[in-house]
Amino acid sequence: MKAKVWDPFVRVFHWTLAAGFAANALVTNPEKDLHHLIGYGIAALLGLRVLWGLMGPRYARFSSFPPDPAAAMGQMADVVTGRRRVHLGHTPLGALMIYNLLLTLLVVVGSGHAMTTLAFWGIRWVKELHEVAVTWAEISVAVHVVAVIWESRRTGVNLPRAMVTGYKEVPDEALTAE
Amino acid sequence: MTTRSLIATLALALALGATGARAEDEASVEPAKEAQIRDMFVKQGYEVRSVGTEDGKIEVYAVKDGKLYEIYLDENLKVLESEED
Repeated sequence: MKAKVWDPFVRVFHWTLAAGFAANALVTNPEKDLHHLIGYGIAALLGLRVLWGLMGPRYARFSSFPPDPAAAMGQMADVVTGRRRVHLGHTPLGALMIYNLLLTLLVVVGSGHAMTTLAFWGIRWVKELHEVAVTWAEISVAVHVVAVIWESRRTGVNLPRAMVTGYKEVPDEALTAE
Repeated sequence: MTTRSLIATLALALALGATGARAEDEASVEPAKEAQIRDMFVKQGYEVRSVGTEDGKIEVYAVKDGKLYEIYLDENLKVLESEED
């Protein structure tokens, strides 16, 4: 079965955000304009994603992937017991990772902007907040990447490819859930 | 990919993330020297926000007349560079 789940905005958002974060975390000089420009670009992406979460198509909406600890535990149980149940939209654990990353990146861009303002220029805790949030985001991205590989193998659905093409290709024998 | 190699990948990714994060050292300047630096800039009309080190140089964040400055000093407190942001 082939299901259209990710609209073009969601896909472009995902990969642009990934590229922007990688560039600023690993390459650009934090004191130079390019770092700041990419940071504001990420802020704009986050703002658009929030709007899209409120008014976008079905699988892009926050209402289709609310934070749900019980469902997340259910997915963990699937992992442990080897039950193959495919979620068409974001999986419950995936949803938690999305909220974690959105909130963490909001802290990163907010503190990063603050560091350039008269009020917070040179204030040490703001710089430390920025750095701690970036480190947390880096750890989260590492966990996200490994989890996506893991879940792709477990469920037989190639998740990275779905984020490129927009379609989840679900094996016929798999159980499907929302 | 086997489970074992996946776990190895995770460990490696975490290690890279953690170490790649903040490679720069931020050794603090000894208190007496920091006080001397603060005093020096306050006398010139700056509000000193923080004193630290970057790339082996002393780095001072300061504000003067609503403008933002990042000033680098050598060990002898000689100004090497003063950037206005």
